[in-house]
This record gives sequence, structure tokens and C-alpha cells, in this order.
Amino acid sequence: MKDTPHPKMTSGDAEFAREAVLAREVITLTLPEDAIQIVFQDASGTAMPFCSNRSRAEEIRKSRPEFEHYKLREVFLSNFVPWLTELEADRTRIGLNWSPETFGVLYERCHDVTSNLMRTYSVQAAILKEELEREIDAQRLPRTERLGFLSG
Amino acid sequence: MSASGFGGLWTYPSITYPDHNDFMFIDEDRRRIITFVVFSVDPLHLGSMRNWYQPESSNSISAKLRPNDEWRIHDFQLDGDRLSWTYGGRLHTWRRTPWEDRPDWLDSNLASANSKMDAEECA
Repeated sequence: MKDTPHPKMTSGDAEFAREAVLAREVITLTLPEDAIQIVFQDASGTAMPFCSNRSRAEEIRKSRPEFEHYKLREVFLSNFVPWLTELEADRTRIGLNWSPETFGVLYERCHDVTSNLMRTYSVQAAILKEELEREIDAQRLPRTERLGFLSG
Repeated sequence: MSASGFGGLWTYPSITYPDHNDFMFIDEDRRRIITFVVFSVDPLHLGSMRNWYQPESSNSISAKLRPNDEWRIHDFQLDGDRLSWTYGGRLHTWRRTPWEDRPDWLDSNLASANSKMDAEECA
């Protein structure tokens, strides 16, 4: 379970990046009406939750009756990475692979002017973007090396 | 604000672990609110929230997370041993808890939180 506060990237975040790049997509939760993205906000800032695979998101959806109406939505990595630039500009942070428990606690603390939990349990969009780009390069490397070997 | 009666130790059942409680300590002398929220129980992992506050009215305070932040108004209702306020879109009613019923970890966690707040005030 990844419940460690992370002002910067942690091993859990790197795992998110690895899985997301392998799958070429991330999963988020939306409200059924118009597929509105779920956004959490407290006194410390705003964060959007994303999962690196469908089963994690499904686990959240099933964890409480009030979450069951959420829909899972895939976001292609090719759209997600540029989107992170916009989110960074809006100072929106990213919640990575929140466990159902973390999701539940943060849900309860929405709009709480005494809560700093959103910032503690999310990562800056720009930092995640860097990590994803690094991971994309890393996963490309073996193929590039192989092509180099064949052409040589 | 009728601040007397507002201070002390308050609990609210953990939303994810109903057998456990979140704890909130309101220190009227230092005007600090320190809250510990249960994220996991095995092992115990607590999220902490440290706030400065100032009275605004009989049923509202201003709170801030850092000394240089702007104050944000927070409404509440104090009714004897119940302290109610709204977050997450619904009313949460906290119950006063006798100091002697505090968990073992609370003293050290409060001391640590207060040290951090002292340091932030001096920064």
C-alpha cells in the first residue's frame, strides 16, 4: 500500500510511472454526468487522482457505496503527459495510486480549511511529467540499442 | 468568540477504520489546532494537520496552515461535548475526550507537531 507522504517523487511514484508507461495510459475516476473529472481540494491545494492500472481504480470505486457511481476513464499517456503542463500551470497536483483508504480520508477532508493532506499526499504535476518522460526514455532505450546494433 | 470550552481533546471515528479514532487537540493558549488522521492501522500511519487559529465569532474561527498563509474562515458549532463542523460536504460531529483517555502515541506526536510549529514561527 502506498500511503507515504511524498513532497517529491518516491519509489511508489516511480512504480506509477513504470506501469503507466508500459500500459501507455493512466486511469482516473469521473462523475458519470458528462465524465467530469474528480478533483479534491483542501486548504493546501487541489489534486486529481490517477491510477496506473484499472484494478487499482476499480478497488477505489468499490470501496464505498458513494464511490460506486464513479466511472473509470482511461487517459492515453500521449494526452496525459502534455496535460500535466497545463495542470502545473493551474497548480493542480496529482494523487498517484491512492489506496482506497487514502482516497476515503482525502474525500472526507475536501474543502476543510484546516487540512493540508492534499498537498502531503500528492505530487507536483511538473515533477511527475519529468519522471514519466524519464521512464519513456528508459523503456525506449533497449529498442534503440538493438536498432543501433542491427544497423551497425 | 466564546472560546472557553472549545479547547481540549476531540475525537471522530476514523472514516476507514471505524474502530479507531482521529484525534484533534485544540490548544487555546497557543491558538493551535493539531489533528491526527488515521490512514492505516497496521502499521499505524497518521496524517497530521497543524493549524494556527484565531477567534472570529461565537461560531467561527480563522485558520491557517502556515504562519504566512492567509486566514480562512471556518464555521463550527459547539454544543457541550460535541463540536460540529462541515467538510467533505457534510457535517462532522466530534466528541470531547478526557485527556486521560488519550492514546499512548499522542504526547510524543503533539510534542513533535508543536516543535515544527515553533520552528515555522521562527523561520
